[in-house]
Amino acid sequence: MKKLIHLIREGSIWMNVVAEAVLVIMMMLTVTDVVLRAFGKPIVGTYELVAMAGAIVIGFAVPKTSWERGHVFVDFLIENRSPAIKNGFFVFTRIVGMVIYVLLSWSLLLKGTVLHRAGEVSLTLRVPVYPAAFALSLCFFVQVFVLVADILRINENKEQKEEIAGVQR
Amino acid sequence: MSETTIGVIGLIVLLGLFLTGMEMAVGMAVVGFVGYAVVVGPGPAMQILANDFFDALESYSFTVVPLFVLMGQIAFNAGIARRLYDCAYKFLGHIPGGLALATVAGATLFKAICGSIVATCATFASVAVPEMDRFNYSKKLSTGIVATVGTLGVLIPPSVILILLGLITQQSIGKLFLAGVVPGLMLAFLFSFIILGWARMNPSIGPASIRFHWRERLTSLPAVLWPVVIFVITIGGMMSGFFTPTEAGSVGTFAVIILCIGRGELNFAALRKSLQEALRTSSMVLLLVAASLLLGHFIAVTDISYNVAKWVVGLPLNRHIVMSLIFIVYLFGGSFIDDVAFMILATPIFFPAIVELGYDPIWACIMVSMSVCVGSLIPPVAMPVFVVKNITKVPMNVIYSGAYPFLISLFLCIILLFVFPELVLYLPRTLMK
Repeated sequence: MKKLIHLIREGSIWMNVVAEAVLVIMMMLTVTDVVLRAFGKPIVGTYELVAMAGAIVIGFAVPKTSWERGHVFVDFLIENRSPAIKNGFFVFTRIVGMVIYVLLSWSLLLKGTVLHRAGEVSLTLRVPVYPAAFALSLCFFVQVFVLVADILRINENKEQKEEIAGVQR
Repeated sequence: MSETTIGVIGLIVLLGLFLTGMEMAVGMAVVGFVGYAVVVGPGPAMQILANDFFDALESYSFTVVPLFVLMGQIAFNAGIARRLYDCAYKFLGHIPGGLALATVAGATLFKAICGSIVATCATFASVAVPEMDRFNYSKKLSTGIVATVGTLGVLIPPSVILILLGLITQQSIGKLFLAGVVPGLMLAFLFSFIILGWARMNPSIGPASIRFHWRERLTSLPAVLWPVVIFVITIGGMMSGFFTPTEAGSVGTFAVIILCIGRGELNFAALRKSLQEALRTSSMVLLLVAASLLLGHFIAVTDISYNVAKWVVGLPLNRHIVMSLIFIVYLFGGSFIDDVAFMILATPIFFPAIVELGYDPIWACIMVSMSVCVGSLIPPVAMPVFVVKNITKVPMNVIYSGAYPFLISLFLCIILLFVFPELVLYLPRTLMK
């Protein structure tokens, strides 16, 4: 069990590292394009590359954000309830989350397949679009496992959770 | 069962899901997906689920969010705010209440490169409050103003809230940035008047500190110069049409990195921390936006927006009263959920009604962002107050009692914007025709 949780955590961290690197590349590409444009030599297709990079940046950051409970939620109505009730709500919300993320991952996989079969490419660079859909599908698939890990970690005490979140940061 | 009834049931279920502690993006996606499947069919629902998330995340327009958030995070981690505060302190510290005034001035300048409410509150709570403690300022004033100044970032460009509103309502981000300048500065002045008035009525709350020589004051000015130059290049480039918002964010971030590395204030660890914080905030916000697109499609097929707009316009009330009621809905909703999340949720429903009432869309966006300013300071979900409490260890009730006098400024500002909409519209109309 601990190995599985460790694996999911490491996976989220590495995906986030990829997102960090792509964010820096995205910024540098845009700045270079702006500078070269001033000299009449813009980088062709920058907008398309930046849009695809944006999908990687946000998609790959979703699992770690979720691991650190960085997404917005409202818990003031349940925070003073008994541990059993709190745990019940916690498991319920994770299971609902898993269902929607499985559906999202599956639907993005189907979309990627359709884009691949149709030979859909970007307007200027003629780069295939389907890898972005597959990449997002992968991100939301990993997200399902983060929610599974959330349930497995339910009995960890608060300090341990904060320690893990600290390691992440 | 009519489609509108299904829509209303969906929204009630959504509120129920929010109260279970579910991530809001998940709740919105679940209701959007299931609702769309019920009204249109499961096949189209699967397609729209993929399309909405793909379109939101693989979108050039939305890449502006992580870039501007990163710019603010780097400025925050590199300690730019501390130098801005030091400069303002040297000019204003000797006036009664002057350290609180310096907090307002420092935060206003910091806002020109950092659009985050929380980052501003965290910075000034750790920089300004100890300084005010040293000169025996009342905890009410010191923590109250620090909790409040973050709200300036909602209006002063590059505000993440205005970027989001621009993307949700399809309004020009450049125009929204210009529209936020006058209300933002007006708010900073109103905060300053409250501080001066409070210190005059009760001098013990903000005793004068030391008076600095002009030489010391002038040598601190370069700290202000660089952020202003970066602000002018990024926002000016955008206004002139030379940059897209994404390019402005990239150039601004790059300039802040170069500035901080040049001054030896940014190491690799601080850069990585900034990147991680920027990704965390951006993925949280953009997941909400993607889920709200899906929910928005469900709301569209149920005709709720259309019916709300028709109902609101048909109310036998003055349009200002109707607008005030919408504003109260934003405040009430934002208080119980999260102000930004509620804004993302409610704007697609109410915005068509506000425009139908004859209000300018840019003005309407600024008024919605004002509701986020007020909402961020009132319980139970008042993030700036939580942040200041965690850093200063001052009890929450003291911080709230210190922040409430500044709410007067916010409400006064809202009234002025209602009466004189040109305060919002003059700059975008003049500079971006």
